[in-house]
Amino acid sequence: MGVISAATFQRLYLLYLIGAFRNGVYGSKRLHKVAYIPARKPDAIRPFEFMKYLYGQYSDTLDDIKDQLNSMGYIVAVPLDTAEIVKFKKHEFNLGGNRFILQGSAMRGRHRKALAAISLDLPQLIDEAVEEYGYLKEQDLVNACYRFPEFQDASDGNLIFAGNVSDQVEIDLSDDECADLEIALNPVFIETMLRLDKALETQPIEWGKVQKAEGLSAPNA
Amino acid sequence: MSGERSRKPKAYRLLMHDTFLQAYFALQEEDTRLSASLITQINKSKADPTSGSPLDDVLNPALAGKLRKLHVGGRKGLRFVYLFHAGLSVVLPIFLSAERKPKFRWEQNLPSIEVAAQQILADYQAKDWSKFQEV
Repeated sequence: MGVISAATFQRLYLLYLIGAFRNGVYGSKRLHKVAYIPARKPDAIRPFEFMKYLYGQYSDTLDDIKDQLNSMGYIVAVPLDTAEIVKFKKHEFNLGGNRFILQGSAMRGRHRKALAAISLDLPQLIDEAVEEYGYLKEQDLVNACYRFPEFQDASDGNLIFAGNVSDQVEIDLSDDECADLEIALNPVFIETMLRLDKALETQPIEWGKVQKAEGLSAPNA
Repeated sequence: MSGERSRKPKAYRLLMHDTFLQAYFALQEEDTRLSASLITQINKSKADPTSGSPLDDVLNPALAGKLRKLHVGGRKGLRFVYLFHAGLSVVLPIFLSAERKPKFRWEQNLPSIEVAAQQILADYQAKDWSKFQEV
C-alpha cells in the first residue's frame, strides 16, 4: 500500500473527471456542478469542499486545482463563443467562458486505475455523474443542482460539504507508481521543467564556461 | 521515443548542477556502493538518455518522454530523475531521492524536489555557469 498527497489526489481526480467528458467540459460552472454530484453520496470521498454561491455549488479548491492543471498544460482552456458576462447589482459574473480539454487522453486508463486503487467505485461514480449531468443544457443542470435538498438548506455563501480527505491518501499502488504521480502532478516541478526545457532551446549552454567535474568519476561516459 | 532506441546513440553532454553534485557527495560519504551505482546510472543516462523510464503521468506534450527516471541501487534503492533534450544532446540530472524506498516518502518531500528544480532553472537563466559542471 502506497501513499500520495491530498493535492496529488485532487489533481488526479479532476484530471479524470475532465477526461470523462467526451468533448471536454463546456464551462467552469458545469465542471463545478458535475464534480459536486459524486460528493452527494452519504459516504462519499470528497476531495473538494463545496460552497453555496449565487450560481450554485462552487469549490475554490477545485478552481485552484483546475488552474494548476492548466498551468502544467495537462488541460487546455479553449474560449467559448457563448461566454458572457452577467451583471448582478454591482458585481459582474463570467458565465464560464472556456471549454476544458484533457491533454494526453491515452493516460486515462492509468488514472482510472489509480483512482480505483484509492476507492474501487470512484471512477464509476465520476463516469456516472458525467453521463447523467455532464451533457445537460446549462440551465437544466443549474436547475437540477438547485433542487438538491442540501443545497436548499444551506445559506448563501456557506459551506454545503467540507472536503474529507486527509493530507496523505492511502492508495493500492507501488511506491514507484506513487512517486511517478507525485512528480508528474506537481505543478511547481512541471512548470519549472517546462521553463527549463524552453531555456535550453532559447539560451544555449556556454560549455566553454562550464568546468569539468572533479571527484566524480565517470569512466564509461 | 521508441524510434530513438533504434538509432545509433548520439553523443550527449551532461550538465550537472551543484545541488545534484552535493547530493552525490553526500551519498558518497554515506554509502559507497550506492554512490557507485549512481555513477553507473549517470553514465547510463548520458550514454543513452532513453534508457531511463519516462515519467508516464506527464501529460504535457512538450515534456513527453523528456523527463526520465533510473533506479540507483536497484528497485528498492534511490530514484534519479533527469531531463534530457534530444535535439540539443544534453542531459540534466534534476533530483536524487535522499533515502531508499520506501523510507523516502515522495509526498512528504515535494519541497525538496521543487527547490532543486527551481534552483537549477534560476542559475541556468542567470547564466551562472559556476553552478554547473560537465560530467
